[in-house]
Amino acid sequence: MNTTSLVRRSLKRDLRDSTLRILMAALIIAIAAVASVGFFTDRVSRALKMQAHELMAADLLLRSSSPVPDAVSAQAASLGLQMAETVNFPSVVLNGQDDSQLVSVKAVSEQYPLRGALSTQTADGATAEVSPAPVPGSVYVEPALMTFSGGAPLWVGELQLSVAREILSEPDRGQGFSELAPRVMMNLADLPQSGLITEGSRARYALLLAGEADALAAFRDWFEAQDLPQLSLRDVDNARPAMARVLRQISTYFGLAALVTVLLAGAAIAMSVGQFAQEQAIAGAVLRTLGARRRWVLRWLFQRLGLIALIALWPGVLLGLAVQALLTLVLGDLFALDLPPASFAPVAYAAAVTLLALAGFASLPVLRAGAVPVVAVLRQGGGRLDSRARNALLLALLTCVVLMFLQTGDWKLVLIMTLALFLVTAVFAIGGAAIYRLLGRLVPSRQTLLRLVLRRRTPLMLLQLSVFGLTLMAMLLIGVVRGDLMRAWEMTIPSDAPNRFLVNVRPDQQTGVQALLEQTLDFDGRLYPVTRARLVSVNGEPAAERYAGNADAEGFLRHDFNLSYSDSAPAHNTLIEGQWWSAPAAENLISVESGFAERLGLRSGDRLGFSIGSQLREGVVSNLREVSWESFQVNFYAITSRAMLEDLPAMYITGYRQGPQQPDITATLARQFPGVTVIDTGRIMQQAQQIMARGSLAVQSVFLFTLAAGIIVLLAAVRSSRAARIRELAVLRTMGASHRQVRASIWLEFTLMGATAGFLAAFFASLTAWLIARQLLEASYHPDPLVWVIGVTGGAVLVGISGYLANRGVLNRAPLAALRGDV
Amino acid sequence: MTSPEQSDNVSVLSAQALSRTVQGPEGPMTILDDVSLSVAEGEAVAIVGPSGSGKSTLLGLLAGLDVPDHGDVHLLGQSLAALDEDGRAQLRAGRVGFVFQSFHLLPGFTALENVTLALELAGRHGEQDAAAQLLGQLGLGSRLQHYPDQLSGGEQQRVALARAFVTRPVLLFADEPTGNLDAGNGEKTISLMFSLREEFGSSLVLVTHDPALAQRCDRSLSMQAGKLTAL
Ligand SMILES: Nc1ncnc2c1ncn2[C@@H]1O[C@H](COP(=O)(O)OP(=O)(O)O)[C@@H](O)[C@H]1O
Ligand SMILES: [Mg+2]
Repeated sequence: MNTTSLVRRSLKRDLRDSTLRILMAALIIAIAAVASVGFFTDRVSRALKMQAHELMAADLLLRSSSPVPDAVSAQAASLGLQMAETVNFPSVVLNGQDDSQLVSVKAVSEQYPLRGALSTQTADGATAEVSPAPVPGSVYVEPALMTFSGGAPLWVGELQLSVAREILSEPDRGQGFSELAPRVMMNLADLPQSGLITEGSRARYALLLAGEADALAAFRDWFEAQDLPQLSLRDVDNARPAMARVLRQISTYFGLAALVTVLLAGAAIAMSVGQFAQEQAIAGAVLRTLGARRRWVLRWLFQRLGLIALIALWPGVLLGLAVQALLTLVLGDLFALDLPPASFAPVAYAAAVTLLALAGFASLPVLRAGAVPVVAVLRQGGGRLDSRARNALLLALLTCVVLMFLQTGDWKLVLIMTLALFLVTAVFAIGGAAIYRLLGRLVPSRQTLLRLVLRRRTPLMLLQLSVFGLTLMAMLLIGVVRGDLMRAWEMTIPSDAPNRFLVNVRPDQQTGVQALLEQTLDFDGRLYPVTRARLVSVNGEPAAERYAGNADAEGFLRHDFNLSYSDSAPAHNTLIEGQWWSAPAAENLISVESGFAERLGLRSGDRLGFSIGSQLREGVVSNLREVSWESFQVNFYAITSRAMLEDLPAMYITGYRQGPQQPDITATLARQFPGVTVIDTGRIMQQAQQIMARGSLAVQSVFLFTLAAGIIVLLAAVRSSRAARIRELAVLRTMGASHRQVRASIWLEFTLMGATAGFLAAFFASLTAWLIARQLLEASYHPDPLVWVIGVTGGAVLVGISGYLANRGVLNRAPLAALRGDV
Repeated sequence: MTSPEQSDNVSVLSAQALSRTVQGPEGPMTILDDVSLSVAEGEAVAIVGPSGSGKSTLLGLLAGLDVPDHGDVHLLGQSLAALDEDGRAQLRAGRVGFVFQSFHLLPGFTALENVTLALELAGRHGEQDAAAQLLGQLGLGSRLQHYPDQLSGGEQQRVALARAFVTRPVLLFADEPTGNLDAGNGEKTISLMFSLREEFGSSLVLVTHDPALAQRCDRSLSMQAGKLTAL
């Protein structure tokens, strides 16, 4: 006989079976948690990838600090790839009045851009969504330069070029402060005559490539076989690294919450399948007396579980879809992307994870059920499965580790998480046991029921208590404590800290700006000259060699940073080593920020070489400064003596406080001082806070799954101890306890468990917050009583109601039936 | 397959020198000691003895649910020693019926499904009517769609009887079938069992500690501390 017909008939019963319903709920929650996170991250990462092509204006990008060798372009041409070239560098342009302006020049070849579009506007207001590259003799400029040029030609190096169009958007326009200078886009053919590129100029060359995937792959293979260390290959995977990092972090947080959900669901799966296996062991043996083979019985049991999993997959996926829609709503515009619709890949992944969990947590008990000796049918109470199943525990542990690895892809993290979970669970269990023991001493002896409940500290009960405690703690930390910490941190920001930054102030605007700030805002600071520089050598040794393999230092070497000069030490910095130079120092001296010095291993007396524009400058470290970055003042990693930088073109920057009662000078600044840019850090911080608030709302919604999984574990535990509980309550009844008392004891048991878990959660959440405040933020943290209220009542209500509902059936069992062993 | 036993068509079940030893807390314990017996076609044999004397153990060995340490059983002319567990299960399918002390109906399956299952495991499909008819004959005509937990003990045992007999087995094993029933239900079950056995010509091996019940069989054997003697 075929098992399928029997499986089909078993299904009717299985769907009504309380044990298998718990199993199904556990599976649904696990699938939903993994799928929702999967759907969301899949959509965002696909959108990022699509956008990345446009952001590179190419499919593949070769970057270099020197011109790309001809052999490379020849190879690309022979593979039939489309090509374009760009050269990027900072420079200064002059207008008809001989005013100068710091700009970021980009010289492009005719074919630029290969992906995405350059959109521009002509002087008469006609816009072109897709514009060709500027023709020789002309430039395109960004809006800030339109006012500067007044529409007249600009001097770019030794060439005078006409302003043909205004740039509305440029696909591969870099972000961040290093690209704050407005863009001048010129034709590559004009570059040699401009005289802007000389030996040692800091230009970045790029070869843009686009084409068929095969040709791109062939090119990549060829490139990797060459020895061209000066060239770096970029593709969509490492474009927009900042966004990719945010996405990676978000998916790690979500992934961990989903993982905890899966692990909890795994505990519920293990308990309910263990119960199921026990219930089915004798049925399997009876079928074997009727002539069924052992394999047949096993197939019957496994197919039933498989069918349950298959049925659970769909509501799980639907729930996952609903929650990812919620996540997208809350977080979607964070990425400023048009998200593509959800794909099916996460469904397959969720199904695989769930099947793995089911196999890992459930296969051994089922195998044991199938292996019960047939003779068990002849024994009263025969077919008991060994509950001390060491192998099952080992397999479950292995499954946990594999699941963790699948979700994180990081063995070290798996190890840390395993240890942390063990440790925290142990701490919660010990804390719970201690509270119960303490209460047990305090409760007067006539409170029999309460004393009975307090004595019920089984390992299983303490495990459940820690599961709830942990989940509640996570939710309290994210939901309540985070806000408190933010407020505590804000309190540490001095009330006069700048909330606006001014950049791109030209030297000729410096005094005017200073005067305006002083008159309208009681400004008592100053404007700092800024030059963009890159560290190229230390004591004559090239920085690239000195710091090869030192990721910490390499970050500084890859980018330009702000360099300033000053006669006096900044008032808000503290000298910790050496002396500040006497005002008109003739030597090239440098003051270095202590953290920067530490990361680069710099000491007083070291000789540092900087490349600044096309110039190289050297100076000697004369002192180290400590900077409190939290002060929000303008600060620099390195400040030099006037002699070292004064003759180089510089722009000025400063920070000021715009109080709510003071006149808003943003518009005045823009009108009186064209080109000056105001950055509203107050708004940026507000935005950052909003993003964090939404991020934590999203993480919290994923933690709701974890909480649901915790409740399912509770249900599974109640179900597996059902027989014992019926007997216990029956004994209570025979000893004279009323129905009401018995019911009260169940309420009490679970409410107390929840309240204890909530109390511990509030305690550890407050402790964590206090530690974070003291150690990381250096702020004083005042414990929020709300944490305790929410923790204790939330835990009590949640666990109390779940526990009571799970035990309702038990209360209705006639005590006599219970004592007959008919359970 | 021309062993002498097979040509001997009279004996449906024979056991030679069965012994069974188990590991007790104080070393090995012999719970069955050199037991031999033979059951002829159509014969009803009772095995009586006090609780713990080894009756169920013997029944398990005779039915091929367990294997002896020594000796062999020939069931329906086939040596059980020559078969593995699944082979023994195949041998039983459709030819051997069981009635247990604690009924052992499959929970979640209706009375009718429990009975039909025995037919299907014997490879006989589409004989639901036969199953329903037999249940009707046992007074459960209105209970076909009931689940075990909706039936009384007596009713459950009658469903178990129908399950055991629906394949018209050559041989029926019953282990204290009245052990969990009150006197009235016990009596009813026994008389139904004997009349069905009569009707289908099945041999019977009945384990009981009730001497009155044993009287209804053709022959009684006594089990005492793992040794079997004729009464
Ligand atoms: N697998 C086993 N392990 C240990 N002792 C067993 C095992 N099976 C049976 N016994 C013991 O063998 C004896 C006979 O058991 P059983 O055949 O069930 O007796 P009966 O059915 O006559 O009451 C009992 O003492 C029982 O405890
Ligand atoms: Mg017995």
